Amino acid sequence: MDALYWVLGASALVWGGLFAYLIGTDLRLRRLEAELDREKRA
Amino acid sequence: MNRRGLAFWKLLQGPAMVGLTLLAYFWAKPLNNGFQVPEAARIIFWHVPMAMLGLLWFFVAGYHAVRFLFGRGSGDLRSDSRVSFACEVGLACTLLATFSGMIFAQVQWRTPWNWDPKQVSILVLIMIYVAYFGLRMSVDEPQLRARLTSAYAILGAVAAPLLMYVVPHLPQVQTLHPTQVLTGGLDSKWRLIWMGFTVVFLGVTAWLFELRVRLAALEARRSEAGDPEDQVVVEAVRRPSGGATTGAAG
Amino acid sequence: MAAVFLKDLRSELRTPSAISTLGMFVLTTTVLVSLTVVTTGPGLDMNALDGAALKEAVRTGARIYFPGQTLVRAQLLSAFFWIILYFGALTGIPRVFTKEEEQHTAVLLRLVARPSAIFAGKLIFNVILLELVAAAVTPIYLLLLQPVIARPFDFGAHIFVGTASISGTATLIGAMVSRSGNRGYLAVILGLGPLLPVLVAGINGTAAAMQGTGGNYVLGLVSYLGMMTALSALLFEKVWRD
Repeated sequence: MDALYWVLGASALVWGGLFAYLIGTDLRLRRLEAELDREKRA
Repeated sequence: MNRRGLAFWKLLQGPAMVGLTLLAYFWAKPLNNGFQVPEAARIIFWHVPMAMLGLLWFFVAGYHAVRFLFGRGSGDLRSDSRVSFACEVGLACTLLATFSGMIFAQVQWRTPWNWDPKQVSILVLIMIYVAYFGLRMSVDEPQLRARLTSAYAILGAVAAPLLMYVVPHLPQVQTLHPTQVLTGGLDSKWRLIWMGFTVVFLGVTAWLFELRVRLAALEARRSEAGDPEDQVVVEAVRRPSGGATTGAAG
Repeated sequence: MAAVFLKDLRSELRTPSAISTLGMFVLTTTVLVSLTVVTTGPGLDMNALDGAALKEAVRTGARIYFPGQTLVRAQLLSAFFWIILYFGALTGIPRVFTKEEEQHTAVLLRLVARPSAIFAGKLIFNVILLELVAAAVTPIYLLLLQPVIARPFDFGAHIFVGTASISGTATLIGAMVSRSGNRGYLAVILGLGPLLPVLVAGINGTAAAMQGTGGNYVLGLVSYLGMMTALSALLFEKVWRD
């Protein structure tokens, strides 16, 4: 049973990290894209 | 593409992954048919989709390579960068499949490498796409580089399925892979979870691919604008902030 | 096409760079392999009894080993032959293209000849080149490593078709490498994936021909040669033009 919690903990860490990275990058890209669009219009 | 931002299919992936992981450990019971350690059968959920998606992304690379060389907008460097991004994602998938497979082989057969046809063909596949990046790094002129590497990506995508057929005929190679587990009568719970994981992994890799494409588009627009200060911003985004995407971020 | 072929032939006769690279490499490696690799002994050129026959022989104190080439030896020697040929082809054939780039004749060639004609001319030249090298190295290989060959015709057919198959794909890869800053070593890495099917069929085919067992891969090699040549011809234009 102990091993199971280790595995679940490790999964949470890896996938949490990956999703945080994906969402973070996506949002940052989105902001930069919006910024560029605004500059273009101005 | 810019306006879409965080779409529904992206946000759904987090909860789906949590749910599937819990199902994989608490709902699916360990398999006893042919596994040394019944718990180790759970490798099916991660390892098999990774190997399949690796091949899929190499075909995506081949598709974009055909579009670059022969399609209507041939010579469009955006297609070429899509080829390389698809190869990056595919390479990450095949590497993960190889390493997870080696861990399983250690548990199941007491050796990480046993010249199984699947191991050998995935090794050759990895070498093909490492060679792809080797070729990519050795040419500087963008158009020429794009043409050479696209031609090679097509050659690789044609050779890849042939390898699956050819490699088991090598004298050194003998199969230990529990194929019958997947093809014949996999427990219906297992099948369901496995399909779910395949879909979610497809989503994650598609997301990675999409981010790379958007980043490249952004860089192209910035350099068009020609403001050197903006380049710094793009560089800051480019630098990966977490270690979770080894191989895919490079 | 004929003009491209004749030009290459004349250039090669004047300064034999491709054939010398290829021939020297293949010859050296064959000698080195025959000097260093043990290919005789129990399990190699002596067959052992097994199963019930082995038990019976042990009980009665009869002989266990009998002279005769084993499948292991046939596979070992075949593998060496094809590996030597593979490395030879992929270091030698790119020379045909890098030579053009070095002598700055590639630019001229692009102007005067259609890419399909160039591909066909180069392909014929490379096939003949590699077949000549294979024809020269096979007797040396037979002399030094002394494989027992049950079906010489099958053995020769596999070498002939397999060699043509290797040079077909190697022509495209040679063209790629010559355009990538003349990095010759890249060809060996790039060729592995597309040529592994040829190597597998060749190794199994010649091993089967040595042992006189079933397994003829000539038809498979011919169809692979056809497919890869068609694909290479299609892709060559994109690689070649400026």
